[in-house]
Amino acid sequence: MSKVKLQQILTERLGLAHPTFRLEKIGAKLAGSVISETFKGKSERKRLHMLWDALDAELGAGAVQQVGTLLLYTPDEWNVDLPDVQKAKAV
Amino acid sequence: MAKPNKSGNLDGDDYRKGALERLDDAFILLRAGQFAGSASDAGRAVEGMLRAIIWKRDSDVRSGRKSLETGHDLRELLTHIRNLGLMSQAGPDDDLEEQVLRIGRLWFNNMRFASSKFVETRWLGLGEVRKGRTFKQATEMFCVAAARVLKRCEVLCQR
Repeated sequence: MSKVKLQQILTERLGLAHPTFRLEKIGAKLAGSVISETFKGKSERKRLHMLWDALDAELGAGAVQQVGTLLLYTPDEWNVDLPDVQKAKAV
Repeated sequence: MAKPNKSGNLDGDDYRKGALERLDDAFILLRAGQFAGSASDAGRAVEGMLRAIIWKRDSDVRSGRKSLETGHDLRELLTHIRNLGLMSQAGPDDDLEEQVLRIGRLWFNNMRFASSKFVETRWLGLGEVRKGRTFKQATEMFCVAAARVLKRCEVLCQR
């Protein structure tokens, strides 16, 4: 599956508002992060079940073969301040 | 196919990608009713992601002057990250710490060898499985906690 196709599926099935996707191929699967205001106020468990329901409805049993871990963020969770990161020795 | 790095050792990106794969495995096993394997992989995902951060941010580890071998102690890995100055004094990293401590209490390296009955009995003894919370529910909560840890760590990895 292409990144564009997965983005389209998630945006439509989850009704994502202004989503940002950071997807990559890990092994044979697409994985990464999805950032949207739509996740605001929803528990981690609720978000995951929304995701699984959407992928199952769209891809059926093939979902687990095509889509890996997707981490689901609100913009606030993704853009959180990390004041000490600049001081640390990064690669 | 991707090639392993020249040294044959895992680097930060290997740890990160492995951690994301282990969390994927954990949720697949959870949904298939394989709870001990699910919990084992979720804990391994947390260990891998903590190692990824340390590898990326600690030049002594990258150069081999310092070892990443901690006996698979998640709390020790978290302390290493805190000592690198990567955690906020308050706020979002309170949750990171809480979830890592919780996972570290329930997960053990040899869980990969354990039967579901063994893990369930152990968690029963720790009060994680109890009246009103089945082993299935406890395993799902464990995996969700692991996902929360990986989310926070992924932000640190990407900055």
